[in-house]
Amino acid sequence: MPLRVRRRAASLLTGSLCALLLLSGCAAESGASGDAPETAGTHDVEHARGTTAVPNAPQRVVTLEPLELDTAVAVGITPVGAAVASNVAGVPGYLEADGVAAVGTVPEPDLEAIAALEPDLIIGTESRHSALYEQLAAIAPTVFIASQADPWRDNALLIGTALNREDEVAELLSAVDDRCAALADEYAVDGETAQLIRPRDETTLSLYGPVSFSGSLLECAGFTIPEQDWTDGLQADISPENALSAQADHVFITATDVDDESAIPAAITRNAASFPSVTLVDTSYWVSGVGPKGAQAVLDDIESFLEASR
Amino acid sequence: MTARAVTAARLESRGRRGGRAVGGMLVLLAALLLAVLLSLAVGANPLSPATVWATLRGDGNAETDYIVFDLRIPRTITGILAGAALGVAGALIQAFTRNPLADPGILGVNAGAALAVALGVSFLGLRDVSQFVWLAFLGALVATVAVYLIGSSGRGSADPLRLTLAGVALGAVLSGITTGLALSNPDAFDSMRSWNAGSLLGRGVDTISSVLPFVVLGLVIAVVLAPALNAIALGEDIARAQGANVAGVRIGVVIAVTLLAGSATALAGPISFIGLMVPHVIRWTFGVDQRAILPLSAALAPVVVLTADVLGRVIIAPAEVPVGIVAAFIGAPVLIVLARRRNASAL
Amino acid sequence: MLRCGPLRMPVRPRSIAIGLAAAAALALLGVLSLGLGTYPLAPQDVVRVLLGGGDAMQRTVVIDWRLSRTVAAITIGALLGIAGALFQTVTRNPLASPDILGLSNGAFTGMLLALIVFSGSWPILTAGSVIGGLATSALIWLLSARGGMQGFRLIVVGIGVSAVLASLNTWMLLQIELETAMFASAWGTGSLNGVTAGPLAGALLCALPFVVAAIVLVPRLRQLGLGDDLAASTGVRPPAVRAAALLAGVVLVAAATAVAGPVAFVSLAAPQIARAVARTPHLSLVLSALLGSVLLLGADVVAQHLLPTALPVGVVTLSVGGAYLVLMIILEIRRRA
Repeated sequence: MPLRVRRRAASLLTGSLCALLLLSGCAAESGASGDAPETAGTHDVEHARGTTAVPNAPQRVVTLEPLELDTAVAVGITPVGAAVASNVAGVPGYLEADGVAAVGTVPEPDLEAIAALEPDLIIGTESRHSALYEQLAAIAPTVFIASQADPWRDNALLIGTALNREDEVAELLSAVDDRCAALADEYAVDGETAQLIRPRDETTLSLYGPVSFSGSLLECAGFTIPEQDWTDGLQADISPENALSAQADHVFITATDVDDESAIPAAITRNAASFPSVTLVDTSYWVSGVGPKGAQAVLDDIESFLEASR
Repeated sequence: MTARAVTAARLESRGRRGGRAVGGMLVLLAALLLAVLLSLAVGANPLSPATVWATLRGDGNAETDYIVFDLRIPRTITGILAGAALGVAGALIQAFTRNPLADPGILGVNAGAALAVALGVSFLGLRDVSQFVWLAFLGALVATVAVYLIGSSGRGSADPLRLTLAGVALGAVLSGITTGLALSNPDAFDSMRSWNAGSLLGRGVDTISSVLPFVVLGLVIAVVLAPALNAIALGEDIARAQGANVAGVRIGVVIAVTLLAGSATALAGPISFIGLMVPHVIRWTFGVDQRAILPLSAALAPVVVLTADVLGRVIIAPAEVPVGIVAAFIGAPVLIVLARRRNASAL
Repeated sequence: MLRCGPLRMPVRPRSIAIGLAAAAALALLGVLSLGLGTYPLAPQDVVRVLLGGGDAMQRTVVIDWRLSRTVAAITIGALLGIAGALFQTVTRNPLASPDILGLSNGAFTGMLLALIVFSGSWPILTAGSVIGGLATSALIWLLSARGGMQGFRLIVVGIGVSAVLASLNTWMLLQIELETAMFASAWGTGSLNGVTAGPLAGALLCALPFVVAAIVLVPRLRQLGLGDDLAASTGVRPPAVRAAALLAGVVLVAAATAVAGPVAFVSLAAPQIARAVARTPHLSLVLSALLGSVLLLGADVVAQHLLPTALPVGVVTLSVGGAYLVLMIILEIRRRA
C-alpha cells in the first residue's frame, strides 16, 4: 500500500511539473521576438509577433500564404519564393508571376529552401506558422499576419506596410471598389439575384454569402445574394434536397476546370427548370485567390459575364 | 472454464435459443420496415408524408420527384444493401479472427478502396462519386488479394492471425500512400475527406443494381459456411473430426468478406464501424450460433445504417451530416453500454 | 541473466546482436539526417561538427536547424516504441496500440477543437492535443472500470470511444476551410516539422520518470503473462500493475504527441518488428525503443528528402512501418514452413 500511494503521489507531482515545464518551454520560445533597433534603410512594422525592422526596399521576398503572394505580385514585387497550396498546382496561374520558387507547402514550408534563397524579408501567418517564427526570424526579418481568416483587406494593408508599399495597396483596394461600382452602374443589374455555389460532395452544397470574398464582389457589382442562414455571413451549407433554396437569377458554380460541364452537380442539372442561368467559374481565384489581383480576376469574370448576357 | 468449453455450452443451449432467434428476426424485420418508411418520409427538406405518398403514386412536381426518386429511394436501397453486406461481413470476420478489434475492413478493404479513390482523383481527374464506385471495388479486391497472399505466403492456408496482421500491415502501407497523395493535392484531399465520412447518395440505381450480384453471392457463401463456422469455434481439431474442411472454410470466409465488405465500401464509403458493432450486439443478445448471428446481423445492420442516415438528414437541416459520422455516434454508445452491462464475452 | 539490484533481466545473444545492429543503424541514419538537405554535408563533416569542429555555416546548419529534429525523431520514436510494448503486453493483443485508449484520435480531437474554437497558435494547439489525449484515456478508463484493465471490456469501450472521436474529427475536418484542414491533417498524421529544443526537452523530462517506471514494471508484467493466480501468489497485484503500466504508456504517448502530433503506427509496429526480428517470446522494452527510433528517424529521412514532395513523417511511418511488418510476416511464415 505505501508503495502504491507513493507511486501515485510521485506521478501526480511529476505530472504537474511536466505541465509547468512544457508550458514554460513553449512560453519562453514565443517570448523572444525581434527587437532590433531601427537602422538606416529599414522601417519598423508592428505585426502579430511584435515589432520587426524590415528593409525599405525588399528585393528578395518569401511569402508563406496565398494572400501574401497575391498582394506582393499586385504591387509589382515578385517574390523569390512562395509556399504553395499544392505541389501539384504550384503557383496559381491567375497571378501570372514567373520565377517564383516553391518553398514547400502552406502547411509545411521548407526552412532550408527558404534559407537557400537568401531572402531579405519573410511574410508568414501566425495561425499557421507560429512554431517556425524563431527559425524564420534567424534567416531574415519576418512579419506575421495574425490569421488568414481575418478580413483580407486589413491583412493586405499589413502586408503592404511590410513591403513598404502601404499606399499602393490602399490604392489597389479602392481600385477594386471603384471598378465594382462602375460595373454596377454600367450594367444596372439591380434587383437581379446571384448565388455562388461550391459543390462539396454528394450530401453538401456550399453557398457563399455577402461577406465572403467573391460574394462581396458579386454584391458590389449590383447583384443581390438571396437571404440564407449564413454562418457569420460567410457561408451556408445545404443538402441537395434543399437545392431549390439556392435558386437565383444567376448561379455561379466553382470548378477546377471551367470547361468541364460535368462539374455541375446533379442537384442543379436535375432541377434545370429552376436554374435558368448557370456559369462555371474558376475555384483558384473565386475561392482561393484572396487578394487584390484575385479580386480583379473575379471582376474580369463578372464583367465578361455581364457583357455576354447583355 | 476455458473459452472453448464456454462456447460448447452455449452451442448446446442453441436449441432453446432457436425460438428466441426467430422472434428476434421478426422484430428486426419490423424495425427495418419502419426504418425504410422513415427514410422515404423524412429528410432535410420537410415534405409531408402525404406529399411523399402522392409523389410515389406519380402526382408530384419536379422538385418532389427529384427529392423522392433521385435522392431518397436510391439512398434507402443503398443503405439496405450496404448495411446487410457489412453486418454479415462483420459477423464473418469476427468468427474468423476471434479478435474483437476486427472489423470488416481489416483485410484491407477500406485501405484499398480509399487508395483507389485517391489515385482516381489525383491522376484520372475523377470528381464524381459514381465514378468512384468501380474503382473502389477494384481497389478493395486487389488489396484483399494482396493481404491473402502476404498472410499465407505460399503456404496456402489462411491462418486468421497472420491474415489479420497482414491486413493491418498492408492497410497501413496503403493508408500512408493515400494520405501522402491527399496531402500533396488539395483536390484529392477534398475528395478524400468527403469519402471518409461515408455517404449513401450519388450512386445511381444502375450502379446499385450492378453491385447487387456481388452482395448476393457473398451472402450465399456466408449462409453456406455458417454451420462449419460453428464447428470451428469449438476448435480446429474437433471441427476436422466432425468433417469440416477447415482450410476450405477459411478461404470461403475470405472470399465472402471481400465480396461483401468490398461492395459495401464501394457503395457507401468506409462505414465499417457498423460491421464491427452489430455482430457484437447480436451475439450478446442471441448467443453464439452463427446460423442465427448471420441473418440477424444482416437484418440489424441496415436498420442502424438507415437510422443513422435519417438522423443525419434532420439534425442540422437544411444541411446533412454524413451517415458514417452519425453511425459511429449512435453505434458506439450502444456498444459501450452493452459491453458494460451484460456479461459480455470475448469471442 | 543480468542482475542490477532488484531488477533482473534475462538476456539473449540474438537480442543483443539485434540491439547493437539497431543502434548502428540509428547512428548511420542520424548522420544521414543531419547531412541531407538544401545544404548537403558529407558524413565526416557532420561528425566533425558534432564533435565540436566545423565552420560557422556548417554549425548553423547542423546544430541550429537539423539537430533538434533528429534528436526528436530518435527520442520520440523510443517513447512510442516503449509505449507500444507496454500496451501490447498488458492487453496481450498484438494489434493493441495506444489508440485503444483513444490517444491519437483524442489528441487530434483536442487539437481540432483548439484550432476551431481558439484558432490558436502552437502552444494552444499543443495543449489542446495533450488535454484531448489524456481526457480520452480517462474517459475510456472510467467507462471500463468495472471490467478490469486487461479485459475485453476495455478494448471494446476503447474501440467505441475511438470511433466516435474519429467521426468527430472527420466532421470537423469537413467544416473548416480546405487549407486549414490540410494543415490540421498533416499534424494529425504526425509531423516533426518545426520541432524546437525547448518543448522537446520539456516533453522528455516529463516522460523520463515513466520510462523508468516502465522498466521496473516489465518483469512483473511478464509474470502476469503466466496467469493472474500464479502472479498473485508471487506477490504481484495484477490490477495495480496493469493500471500503472497503462498509465505509463499513456503519459509517454501524450509527451510524444505534444511534440510531434499523433505519429501513426510506430507504437504498433516497433514492438512487433522487434519481437519478430529478435525471435523473443516476450516483447522487449529496449528493442522496442531502439526499433521505434530507427523507424521514426528512417521515416523522417525518407519523408523529407527521398520523396518527390516533402511530406509529414507520419505518412511515411504508416507506409514504412506497414511494409516492415509485411516483410516480417512473410519471412516468419516462410521460416516456419
